[in-house]
Amino acid sequence: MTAQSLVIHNLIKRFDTDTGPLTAVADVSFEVGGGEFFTMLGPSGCGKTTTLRMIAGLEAVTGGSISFGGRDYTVVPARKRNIGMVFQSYALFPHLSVFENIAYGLRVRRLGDADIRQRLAEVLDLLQLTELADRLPGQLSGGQQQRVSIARALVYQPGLLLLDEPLANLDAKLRIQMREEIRQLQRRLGIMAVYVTHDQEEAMAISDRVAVFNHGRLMQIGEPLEIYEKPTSLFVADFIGRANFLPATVISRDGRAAMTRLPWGEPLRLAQTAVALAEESEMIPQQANGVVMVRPERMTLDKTRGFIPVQVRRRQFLGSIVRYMVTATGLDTELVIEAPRPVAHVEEGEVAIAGFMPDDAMLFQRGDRP
Amino acid sequence: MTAMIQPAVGTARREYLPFVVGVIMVGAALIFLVYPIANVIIQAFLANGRDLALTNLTFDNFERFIVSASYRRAFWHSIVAGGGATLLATALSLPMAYALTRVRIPFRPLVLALSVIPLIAPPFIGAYAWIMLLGNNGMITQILYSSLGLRLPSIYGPFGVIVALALSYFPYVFLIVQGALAAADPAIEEAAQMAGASRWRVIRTITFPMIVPAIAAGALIVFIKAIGDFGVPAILGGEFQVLPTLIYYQIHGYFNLNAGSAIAIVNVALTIAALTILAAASRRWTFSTITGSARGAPRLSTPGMRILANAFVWFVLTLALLPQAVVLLYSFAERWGDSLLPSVYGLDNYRRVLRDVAEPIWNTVILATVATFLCLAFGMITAYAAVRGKAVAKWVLDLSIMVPFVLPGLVVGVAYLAAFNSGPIVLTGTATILVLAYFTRRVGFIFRSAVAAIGQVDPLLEQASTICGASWGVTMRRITVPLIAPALIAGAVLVFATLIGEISATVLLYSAQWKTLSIAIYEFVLGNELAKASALGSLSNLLTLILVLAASALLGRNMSDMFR
Repeated sequence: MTAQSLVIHNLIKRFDTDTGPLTAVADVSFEVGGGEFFTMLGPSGCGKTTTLRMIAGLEAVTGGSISFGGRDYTVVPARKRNIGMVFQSYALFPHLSVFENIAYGLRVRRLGDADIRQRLAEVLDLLQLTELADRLPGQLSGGQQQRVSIARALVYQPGLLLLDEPLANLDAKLRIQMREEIRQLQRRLGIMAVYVTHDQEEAMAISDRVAVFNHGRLMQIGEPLEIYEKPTSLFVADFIGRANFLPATVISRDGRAAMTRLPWGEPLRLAQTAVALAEESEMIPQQANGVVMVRPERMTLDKTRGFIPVQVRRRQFLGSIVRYMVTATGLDTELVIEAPRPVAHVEEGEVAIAGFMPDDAMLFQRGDRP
Repeated sequence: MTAMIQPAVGTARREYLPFVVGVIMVGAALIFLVYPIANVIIQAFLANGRDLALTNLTFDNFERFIVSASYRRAFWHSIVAGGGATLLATALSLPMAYALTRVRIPFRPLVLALSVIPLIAPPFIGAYAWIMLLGNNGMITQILYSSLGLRLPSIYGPFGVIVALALSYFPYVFLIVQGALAAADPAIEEAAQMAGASRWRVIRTITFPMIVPAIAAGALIVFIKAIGDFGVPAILGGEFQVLPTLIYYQIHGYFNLNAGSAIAIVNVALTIAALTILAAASRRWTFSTITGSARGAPRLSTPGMRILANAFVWFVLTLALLPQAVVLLYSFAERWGDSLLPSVYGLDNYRRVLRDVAEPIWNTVILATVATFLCLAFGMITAYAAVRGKAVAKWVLDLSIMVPFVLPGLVVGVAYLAAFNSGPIVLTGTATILVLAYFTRRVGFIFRSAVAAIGQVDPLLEQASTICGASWGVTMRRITVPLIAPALIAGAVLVFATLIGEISATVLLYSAQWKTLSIAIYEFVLGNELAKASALGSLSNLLTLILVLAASALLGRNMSDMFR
């Protein structure tokens, strides 16, 4: 890779707990290129934050290596890595003014007063903080504190910016505004960013590439669209966006494609297929040997057209879309169907027909027994 | 995969400063905390003056608690004085705390502030004031005799010791119980009332059981302080000897360090027994977690209740503050004949003591200042290690610092005398030994406040500083220390203030060159120069009060909160 890249190789982290060792990060490898916005996504306790803290140097590495720009970082002390980091709680120094908070890294690097003032003027302007320079952190709103912590991380021009759930403490509207600001700032500065979040929508919106973690393992890595449309595991399919899972039986295979029978209608030829992970086999119903995953917005609902007879339980108007919760005969889970506008003549409590195009569906075949 | 696993590599490995500081801290703790205490235990099993050898070990020093009548008496007297003072202090505190939190009382902040004064003023200064009040020629004794023909029991002996100790230490129970009552959720008591319980029944079945842990904790502090107190029994005890005075006479009279060590161990054993009983009991009592509530409990406002509550609160406060008031009055008295009050007032006493005892005043300032800085440096760094460090290190540090904290001053005095009188380090009679003894007695206090303060500092702040490129030293200097400074400075001021009146350890360790303010007062009292003692005592009290007020202003907290 280029000199600018971050290379994580077979990274392992084990904690000693009262009940024995706990593996928080299990053999994780990935590379991030210069100028890339890279997001680690996963439910809480999946190892994403631990991985970030090992990159930062705040957590000792149990095994594997971390290198940046061709230099081995694995045992380099955190303070010598020249990394910028934004914390979830911002971690602003409460006794220092906004100016001194941001200038902290420069003072540590023993820059002259004139240089510091000049750098600060630029950064304060960049993050629209000039007016607030003399305030203490306690006198700022959440969004302003967020900006200060970003400025503090960027001011000494680090090679890498780490962001640990930086938007988690903001309200919904500000969160969307701030994530755009962070993204634009990162593009403008051309800095590599590694971002941690548990919010899949945020991850999709902000990232060049997303790495999905679960139970300390890296499940899948790819561009947002790729991960959404071509999940390689049931976990990723379920975790990213919403998904409907229909029991399916594979009749015959034709290269990657498979003829698949669902409980309703004619057999379908599905071009997109994958093998479910061994530990995911219990997500596949006993009588079937696979499941078909269809996104809610790719399903249709109509009075007459389709092949899955359903009963409409609930209809939610969500502004830009209408969401239907329906039950299909012979299926104990609810299906979710999202339509751009209300379906004519289909009311709550009535029966209707659901369907989807074979190209919009993806088959996960049972992996452990053929 | 397994081939890649390396031993865990901490980023802290490259930082030498924490390691060096840690070694110095552990070394200091070993020499000045662990060694003296271990040495006392050894000395207690040696005959007077014998060297340490297996054949010289003996139980003789402890046997005297069975053989010698004076030892037996001192042991029982300590329990009687400690137990009596604890009971009396609790009996005074409970109604007072209830009155302050459940009855409408004017000037609540004033009551709380005044109730701290007995804790600030050294108890032995209060003790000789009781002689002026209740002694054979005391003011109250005279009034009672001339008007009512009443004769009080002699102030010298158990009566005086118990009263003086109780009034000196009752605020510990009062403040803790008051805090617990103020924090208790009023809805609990209201629920009992709604269920039909009378006010008295609510107190008996709900309120009291809720605050039992707080009462026990406060009472334990009073007991520990009372059985460790030297000044009060030394001045008011007369023939009524307790363990600390027995230690003093064994060492000053016979210079028998081994006997003193054995008595010290018995004295500490009493403390530990009390702690153990409390620990065992509190396991049964901690059924209720007292949660803070936004609103205070509704207060009784019936006239009868209010009059009763006010009368009681001010009665206790007057009793507790009377000694200090008398000391202050006497300090301005230039002539005081047979009349009830002095006949001539002036500043002569102050002029005289400032001229004659300027040196002890300076000695105290110097010794207390150095000791305070030592406490500050050591307490802060060890507290940091305890909060942020590994569990084992935490436990060892906690123990070695908190153990001396519960040791009576006289025991610390014996320990230092025994440890540094001979052997590799000889410090007897120097300023150093006083400073170190003060350090040992007070470092736990700084340690505790530093632990609390550092606990408030989010570790992420330090990590953010590290990420910015700062070393451990820079992070400490620029982030951690500035954040905990207010709490530490306040703690330091309190330590300094309470060292001004320190007498229990000083009385064994001072020398002619290093006589302190408290010793000067003690000598005036023994020499019956009460006017001079009063002037010096008032100076000491005033200085202490100013410092404590400064500390509370610095913390932005009520003075009474700092002693809880």
